[in-house]
Amino acid sequence: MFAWSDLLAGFGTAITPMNLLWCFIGSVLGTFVGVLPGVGPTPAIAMLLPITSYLGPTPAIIMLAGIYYGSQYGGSTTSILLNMPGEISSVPTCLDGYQLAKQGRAGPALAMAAISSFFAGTFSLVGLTFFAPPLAEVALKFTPTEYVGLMVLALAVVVNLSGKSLTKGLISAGFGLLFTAIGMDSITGEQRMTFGNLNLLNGFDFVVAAIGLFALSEILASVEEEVGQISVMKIGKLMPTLRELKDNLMAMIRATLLGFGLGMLPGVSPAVTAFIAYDTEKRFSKHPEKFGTGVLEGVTAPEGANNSATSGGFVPLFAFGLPSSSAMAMLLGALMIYGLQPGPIMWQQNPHFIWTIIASMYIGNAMLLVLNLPLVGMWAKVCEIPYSILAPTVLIFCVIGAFSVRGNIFDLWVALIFGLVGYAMKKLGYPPAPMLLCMILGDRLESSFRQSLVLSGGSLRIFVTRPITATLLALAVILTAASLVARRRASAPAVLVEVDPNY
Amino acid sequence: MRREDLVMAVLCLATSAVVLVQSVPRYFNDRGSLGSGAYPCYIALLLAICGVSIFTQWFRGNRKTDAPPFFPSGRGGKLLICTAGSMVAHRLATDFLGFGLASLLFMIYLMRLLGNHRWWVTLALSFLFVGLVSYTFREWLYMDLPRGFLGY
Repeated sequence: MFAWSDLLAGFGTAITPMNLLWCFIGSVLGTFVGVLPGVGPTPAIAMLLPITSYLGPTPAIIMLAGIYYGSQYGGSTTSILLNMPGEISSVPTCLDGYQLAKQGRAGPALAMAAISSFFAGTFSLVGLTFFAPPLAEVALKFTPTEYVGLMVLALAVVVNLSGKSLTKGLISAGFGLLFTAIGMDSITGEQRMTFGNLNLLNGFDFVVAAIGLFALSEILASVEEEVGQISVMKIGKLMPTLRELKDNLMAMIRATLLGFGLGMLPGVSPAVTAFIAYDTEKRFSKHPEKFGTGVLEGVTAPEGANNSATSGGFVPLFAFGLPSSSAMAMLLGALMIYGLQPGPIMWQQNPHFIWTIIASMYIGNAMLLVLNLPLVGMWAKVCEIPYSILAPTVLIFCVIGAFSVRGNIFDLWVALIFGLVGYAMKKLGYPPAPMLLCMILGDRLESSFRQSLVLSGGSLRIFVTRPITATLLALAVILTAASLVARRRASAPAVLVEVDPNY
Repeated sequence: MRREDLVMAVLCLATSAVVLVQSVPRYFNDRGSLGSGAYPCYIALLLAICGVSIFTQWFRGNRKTDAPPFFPSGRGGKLLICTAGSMVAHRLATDFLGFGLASLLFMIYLMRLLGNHRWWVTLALSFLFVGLVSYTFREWLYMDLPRGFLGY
């Protein structure tokens, strides 16, 4: 259970000079990544993940987490100044943010985005502080069978929310699961689908796949669209008035609660919560017709929601070891690389690590407010880096990232092939997020599945006779059925959006 | 449904067939319980069902005739091929030129292709960036990036 002494001890470690430095570096990198269109937190974490192996687990995760929640702050800058979202979770911000910028109110819009992000980020961290420990205690009672149910539910949520076609989501997930089956079987040691290629004995590394699927494919797509240099709107006076702050307070509170609640669900990314928050705020507004013409609530709601969702996303990660988005999946991967398995076992064996990360997120949130308010002009300048310089530098970092995972040239080819596959998937509407999530959870899903069958003596009935597992699997089926009905009626709500591969 | 989705359906079914051929003999182990081939069999079934679903949707007349072409035409298509080709060339060149030299040539080519910058700007930025990155990762982070016959 939660104890103040644990959190304070976490702060004690988080405020050491080196951890503060890595928190700052992560926040700056995250804002930078968020500002740049086409580079999201998932490829950024994927590229830097192998390099962080030179740090210890605590500073590495502090930095990588900083990149994740920092990118949510940065995404609003380009949305407001350029009408070009830095992250998919900032797409709703474009609707009113850019209109405000055209009216000469870019400064208050940017300030409101930063303030809302800070408010929501901080209060949702309080939620994380109080929700994660009791959920982890519940997770202690879970056997491999319950984990199968939980992972199937998480995959069902991701598949149903990613993209317009359920079949395409399932195909993406299916191939992701298949890629994890390639290589040496972890239980029997037999080679599976290696076709005699020694390089495939260890299978495909998910970091390499993520670099290809998210970074390389995005570069190829941007090159095709001939993204060039862009001009930026002037910022002007920065802060909103006191009355505007007061008027937006309820919007911030609603966005915080909505984002945190939805962000806790495995498979729901900040992008989805941002859209829902914008829609919800519009419904609550006394003047919904003004949304889209330049109202501050249209910026406050999505920016607050996407930040609170990032903290909410840490709840299933820390409590169950399940990621809620692609970027969270990369963080899970990072923890696994360090031999740390998030979930109830970590709360028992290494609670101080978790509290340090949570404490560092409080600190990082404060850093980001300082970085994003007075330095917003500097971030706006970053948007002006020509893509012809940005693209090759990102590609070279991708090569380094892919090579450094196992020091194997073969992984460079794997990353390239996944890049081409990711590009094709993007063009044909196949979401890459289910594929990546399956590549990360696939091994665990298989081992839990086989352990369950050992427990039941080979009978599949164990998945329906255990109440929690049966409930979770039923939820997955109901969600999928509801999604199918909604798609058939062609009245899918805004929540069924095609999630950007960066999430 | 686009024509390209039919290709994906065929791919799903073909993959499923290959996986089943590889995995069915190992479905059960020597003791009669589920072996290493069971899990891939279930995945293959999932892919087969998805492939059949796409075929069914196609033959039911759910065809999108106004879908944009898969491959872009014009300058966008040319940039795409050149960029992808340069990425392949970079991989191949890394083996014998080494990371440093291959990346330098790669960056020069891409900057000229995508931005048509002046030569001195291209060369200066390329040397600076690749040099800095190589030094940082090799000397500070002790990462053994591939070296070619010239030692870079």
